[in-house]
Order: sequence, then structure tokens, then C-alpha cells
Amino acid sequence: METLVATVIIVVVFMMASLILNNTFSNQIKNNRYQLNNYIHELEYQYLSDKMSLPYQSEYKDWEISIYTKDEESKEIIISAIQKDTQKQVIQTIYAH
Amino acid sequence: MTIKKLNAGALQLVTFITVVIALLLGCFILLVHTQKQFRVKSYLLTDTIQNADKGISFALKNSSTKQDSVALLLDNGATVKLKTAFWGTFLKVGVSSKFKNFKFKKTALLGSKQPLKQNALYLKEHNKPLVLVGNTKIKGNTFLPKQGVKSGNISGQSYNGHQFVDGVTKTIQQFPKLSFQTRNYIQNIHEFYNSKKDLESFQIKSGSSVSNSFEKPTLFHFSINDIFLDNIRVQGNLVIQSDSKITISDSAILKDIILIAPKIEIADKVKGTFQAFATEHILVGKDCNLSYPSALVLAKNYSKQFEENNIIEIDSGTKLQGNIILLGRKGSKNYNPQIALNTNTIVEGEVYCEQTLELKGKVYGTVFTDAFITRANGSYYQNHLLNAEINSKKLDLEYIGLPITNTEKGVAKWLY
Repeated sequence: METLVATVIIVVVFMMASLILNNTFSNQIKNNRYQLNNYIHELEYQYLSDKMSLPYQSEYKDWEISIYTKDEESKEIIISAIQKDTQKQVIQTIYAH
Repeated sequence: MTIKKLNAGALQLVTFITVVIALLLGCFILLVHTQKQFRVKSYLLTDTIQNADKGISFALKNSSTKQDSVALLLDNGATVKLKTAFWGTFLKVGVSSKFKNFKFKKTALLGSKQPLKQNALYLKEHNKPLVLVGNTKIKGNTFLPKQGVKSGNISGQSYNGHQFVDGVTKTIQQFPKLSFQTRNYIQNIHEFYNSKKDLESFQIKSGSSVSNSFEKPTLFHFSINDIFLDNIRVQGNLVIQSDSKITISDSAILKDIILIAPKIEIADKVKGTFQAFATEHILVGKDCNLSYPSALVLAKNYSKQFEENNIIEIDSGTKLQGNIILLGRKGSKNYNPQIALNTNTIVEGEVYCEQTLELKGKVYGTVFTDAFITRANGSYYQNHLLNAEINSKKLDLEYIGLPITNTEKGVAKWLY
């Protein structure tokens, strides 16, 4: 009887442990926008150094990136990145020179 | 065969293993969590810093020089506040960026980019040609009166070069103007700080050291008597004003400050970075080194006229990085130059002169002048240049200078 309970408990414990590990890792990978942010900064830099003309569109991994002028008057430039599957959006505003 | 009985410790063992696993998992989750926390923090911090940069580029883009603060609201509730104020011939922009718990401040001195880097000389149209004598060299594009440029003769000395201007020569259409706000500020600077009641004052004592950050309010020292700056260190967001005269000796170390007085005299071998504003004269001694961004400004309201001894005079061996400005009117019988750059002086930057300029030294940058004059052997030669050099090619490409209208702004210096 004792052995049975012990087996059940240890199976449950291992299962939970693996689920927790799985969850944390997958979360970390999913929310990792480090490379995307880097790419956006690269585009921002390119724009500020006059190496790009607007409007601009490109793809980066599963993100669709577009750069456009929001307002001619205030010269606000929007860089928006939209993830294709999840429709998540990352927006950066810059002020052009 | 004896049967060895095992202890029924399975449940105990399992509990032990569970505890170990729980501990390990706990540690791991804690590790991941702290890492994430740190990452988020560093992201927020870099965002705040980048927002401050955006604020600066907003200030560079927007040509308005309103003397108040502007608040920008960026995405995710980040705020950027901009505060613009004049600082001598430049603009001082303070950006404070706030995002959640993070704050970041950045202060910059803004000026204007040169309209065209290669422009060497703008000479106002008075129907007189520019006359070159001796070893005069002009390198860069020039904007001259219709009569153009020719060679001349001063007491037997003629022009030695084989090309008048190394660059494109055009007829001047319009004399470049200083931006209206800056001109207004410069001409009224003697009342500008004096009339502000809320400025805190500071004391000047020989042997002391005063400094003030540009993120704090400006400190102001005023005296109706002469001020003698000797054996003192003054740095930062400070204005020193006298109602009679300021004298600077070579033992004074001045950095980034503003000096205002009717007469300003700079002794020999002074080193420093400051902007001097006078109404009567500025005399700079020999072998001084005024580094970037310095400025010498002589300005009078148009209701008054320049007398014969109203002059910015720079003695030989002195080097100035920055600009020299002269604004105002002079009497029709006053033939003396209002800016005199003696032999072996070097100005790296711009010389903006609304009256006559006597140039015997070198200007690496651009000269904007109403007319030249050369005094030799007791005679005055109008629009003559004797052994002078104007070379816009030797100016740094990154040079940021005078706010001429219709020019782009740039960062002259990051302040502290």
C-alpha cells in the first residue's frame, strides 16, 4: 500500500515538475523579442542616417514591419511590427531629423 | 538463507525526493524570475534613455525656440519633458524622460549646422569689389558683390597668389541673417538675467571654485563695479555680470559660463571656454586659447551707435574656437574696424560682422561681413585683405555654430 502511494506521489511530482519547467521555458522563448527589438533599432538607425525612404515594409522572422509617417506636421515616424500568427503589435515612435 | 527485511521506507524516500525536487524547482523559478526582472528593468531603463534621445531629436527637428517646457507623451505612458532656453549664442535644451520608476536627464547645447560646409565668405553688396593683397588665401565658396574680386596694392605690396578664390564665386543675393530670437536675446542680454528676480546669486572670491550643473537653475553674480577674475575656477551654469568691466587674468579657469559687461578684457595666455557679451569693447590678449564653444559678442541696440573705440580686438597668437558676432550700427564718420583680428590669430568657426572687419589672421570657417578694412601706414583701405586667410575646408565637418535662419540644428556639446 505504502509503495503504491509512494509511486503515485512520485509520478505526480515528476509530472508537475516537467510541466512547470516546460511552461517557463516556452514562455521565455515566446516572449523573447530581443532580436526583434534589435532589428527595429537597426531600422531606426538606418532611417535617422538617411539610408531608407518611407514608407518602408519588410518582414523579420514571423513579424511584419512597416514604417510610415504618422503626422507630417510633427514629423512623427511610426515603426510598427505585427506578429503574423498572434497579431501582437510592437510600436516605436521616432522623431525624424 | 536468511531473509533480510527491508525497511518500508518508500514513502519516506518519496517525501525526501519530493522535497529535493521542490527545492530545486523553487530555486530554478526564482532564478528565472529574477533574471526576467532584471531584463525588464534594463529594458525600461534603455527605453527611458532612448526616449530622452528622442526628445533631443524632437528639439533638433522643431524649429520653435519657445522659452518654456514642452511635454511629449510617448507610447506606454512614457513622458518626455523638454525645456529650452538661450545660453549665449546657443540654445540649451534639457530633456527629462520619465518611464514608470525610471528617470533620465540629458542636457545639450544646440546650435546650427553650417548652411553649406564649404562656404567661406559672404560679403555684403556695397558696389565695391573685394581686393586681395599680399599672401591672402581664400578657400571655399564665396558670395561677393557684383564687382567681384580683384588684386590690389598696399604700399608697394601686390597680390602674390595665382588664383583669387579656390572655390566657386557667386554674386551675393541676400546676406544671411541671424535668427530673430537669438538676435533679440543677444541685443537685450544686459537686461535678460538682471531682470529675472528668481535667479539665485553666488559669490566670487579669489582662490575659490564655483560650479553648477546645467540640470539645476542658473546662478547669477552681479556687481555694479569692476569684476576681476583672478585665481578662481568657475564652471557650468553660471552667469557673471558687471555694470562696468570684467577683467580675466590667466590664472582664472572659466568653463562654459557667460560673462556680461560693457567692457570685457581678457589678459594674455588665458585658457578657457566662455561666451563674452559686451557693448563697448572686448580686448583679447596674446596667446590665449578659447576652446569650443566660445563666443565673443559685441552688440548694441540700433538706437545707439558704435564709437571709434568700440571694437572686438584679438591680439596675435590667440586661437578661438567658436564664433565672433558684432551687431549694431555705427556713425558714418567712424572708419575704424569693429572687429580686428591681428596677425597670427586663428578663429575656428564663424565671424559674423554687421560692420567692418579687419582681418589679418586666419579664419577656418565662414566670414559674414558688411565690409573689410585694412589699416596700413596710416591709411585705410576699404574691402582690402592683406595677408589674411579664410579657409572653410579646415573647419571640422561636425562643427555646429551660429543660428543663421533656415539652417538645421545640431548638438554642439553635451552638458553636464
